[in-house]
Amino acid sequence: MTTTNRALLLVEDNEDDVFLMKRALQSARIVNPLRVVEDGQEALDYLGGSGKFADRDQYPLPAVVFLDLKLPFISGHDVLAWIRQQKEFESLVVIVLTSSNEAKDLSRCYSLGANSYLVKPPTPEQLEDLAKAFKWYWLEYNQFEIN
Amino acid sequence: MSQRQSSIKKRVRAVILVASAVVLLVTAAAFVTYEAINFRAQLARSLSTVATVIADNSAAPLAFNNAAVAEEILGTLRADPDIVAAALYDDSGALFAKYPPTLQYELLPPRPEQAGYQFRAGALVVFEPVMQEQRPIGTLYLQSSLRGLYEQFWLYGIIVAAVLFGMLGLAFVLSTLLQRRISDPVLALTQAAQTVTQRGDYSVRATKLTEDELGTLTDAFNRMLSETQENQGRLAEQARLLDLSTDAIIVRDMADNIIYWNRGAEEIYGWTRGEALGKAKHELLQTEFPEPLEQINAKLQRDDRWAGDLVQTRRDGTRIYVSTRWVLDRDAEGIPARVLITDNDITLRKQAEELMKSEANRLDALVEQRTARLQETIGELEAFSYSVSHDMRAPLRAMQGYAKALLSDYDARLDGEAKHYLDRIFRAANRLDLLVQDVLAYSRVAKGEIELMPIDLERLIEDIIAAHPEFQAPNARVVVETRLHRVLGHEAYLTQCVTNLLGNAVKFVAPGLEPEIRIRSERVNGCVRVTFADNGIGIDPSHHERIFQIFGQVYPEKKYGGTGIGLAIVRKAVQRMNGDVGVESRVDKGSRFWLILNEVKYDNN
Repeated sequence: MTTTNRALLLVEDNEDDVFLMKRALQSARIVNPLRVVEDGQEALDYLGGSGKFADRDQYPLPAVVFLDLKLPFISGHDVLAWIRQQKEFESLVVIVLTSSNEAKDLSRCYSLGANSYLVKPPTPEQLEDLAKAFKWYWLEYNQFEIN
Repeated sequence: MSQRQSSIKKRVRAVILVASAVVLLVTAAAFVTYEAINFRAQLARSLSTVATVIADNSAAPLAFNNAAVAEEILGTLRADPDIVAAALYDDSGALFAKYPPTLQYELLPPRPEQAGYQFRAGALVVFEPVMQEQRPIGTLYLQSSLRGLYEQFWLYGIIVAAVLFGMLGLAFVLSTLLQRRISDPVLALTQAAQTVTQRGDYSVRATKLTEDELGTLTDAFNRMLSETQENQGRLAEQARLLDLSTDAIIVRDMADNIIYWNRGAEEIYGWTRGEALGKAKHELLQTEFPEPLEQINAKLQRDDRWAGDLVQTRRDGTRIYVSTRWVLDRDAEGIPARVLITDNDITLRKQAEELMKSEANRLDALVEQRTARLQETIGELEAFSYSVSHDMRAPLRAMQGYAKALLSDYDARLDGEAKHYLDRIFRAANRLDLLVQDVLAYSRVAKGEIELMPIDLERLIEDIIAAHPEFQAPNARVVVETRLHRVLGHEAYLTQCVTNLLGNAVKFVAPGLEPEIRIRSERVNGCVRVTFADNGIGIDPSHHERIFQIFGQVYPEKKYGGTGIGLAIVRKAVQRMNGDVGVESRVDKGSRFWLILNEVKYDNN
């Protein structure tokens, strides 16, 4: 079963990275709707469906969350922790996508329940490779829980 | 000369003189007695002889009753002046004739007495019978005065007295000479003894003058003096040593009275020995005890010793701290007799301790403050490197991304030069990213505590080669020449070191040459030296130190690439593993980099 219609949520405050990510996803021919929130609080609001995010047609619950760690207001770690505390999101796929390759961050994220930890590659080509690998693995082979 | 000295001389002389006088007197008395007896017998004998002759001659006149003849015969007695009276009695006992004719009758015995002689009233008298044909016809009476005897006695007396005094004089002279043989050694002893008692000088010796008992006595006396002197010397030495002590050494009796007080005590407390002796110690020094005195005394009785710190007061009123040790001294019956006290002035130490305590507190506070500040700095540094890895790399990615996007999206509209510029932007960003990563790697190696573990170098190198295609054929040839020793290290750090060294070796090679690296290990001075020999372009010896410094790159980046941090990371990492790194190299001769690492001594694997 392919997951072409399920939304992807990118939590990223850096618009350059958002731009590059969007380009990489396009290059990898990923057609899933991409929603972007720019800080931790917004991520919580989106997932919780509060405020403008109550409209699930426009802001559908994502199949995968790409989560940056260094975020304004609420850090990526705290967002991850919050997600895992919610009963409905305990099996939500969260992929940490960060520029940090600090061992501390890695172990903390995994212990908080991240499904994967990716370091942002330095070049656009490598980011494109990453997007392709993501597509094959997560969107074509991985089986999501149906909700 | 003193009384005693003269007295022994006098006495010896007196003994000799008395002995001589007694002997002389007894001898003289015996002699006089003998002479007296002898003289009297002789006197009696000569008077008897005269009497016999006169009696014989008187027989005829008496028989013929011729008184005139008889008186004539008696008159011959004039020849002997000692004969003072004579008389003839007839056979009836009546006086017949007398001599001297003038003699009064009363002075003669009225009647003849028994024949024989006898001494009476200072005279010798003889009655001699006058015989005619063996028949007594009368009696002769003679009276001799004892004047001769007395004269003789006087003469003897004078001689004896003269001899006696002469002899005594001689004895005096002799005794004066001879008494020295006895008195001199005694006097020498006496003098020595007096010197010792008066001056307390035990170094004098009595001169040995004779080999008799006095000589033995002198020897014994001298020996005693030597021993006493030795003992005295030892005691003086001990006393001197006790006085050398800068500690106060005090002995007190059980009533707390001071009975010994050394110079240390004088110095520490300011009281002289004379002032302190006999005083109550705790009163004199106003002792303040750390616990009740009864408890201290109980401990002293139980353990025979006690030690503690006291506050005492000097003579000038200053209070001082002393560290004191008490030792109880018991007598032969085990009853406590004395307490030996050793006091050590610790006032300065106490003050220093207090100063140190306050100083230590101040330092503690300072250290705490500095540590906090340091922690803060470390925190800031960590935040800095975190932000470097996150925030500074993000714009780089953006630069690269946008450059690439321009190149792909606007390919048709860009001319060659514009594309070249974009390529330069892309590469500059790429290089900056590498730099940032290396700086982060260096700071990671430089900080934090690491634990060293046994590492299998061979496997580590195998893994590194497997993970890096640039170290594999046909890009390069890496040969492990010997079995590699197991070393004590940190796997991540060591991986970083080996990767950087191999990376440099394959990077700095003359164009067209296949990089070749030979790795070997050997034991050097109890450590392991791992050598990486390459066939690269080599490094001039003048640069050997600089290449290990951060940004110490010596070859143009354009030609070989690199950030100039790699070897600095190696050195820092090796130092963190208690090792070292170095290089032997010359331009165009290849390089031999070596790592010194600790060997695994006891390893179960």
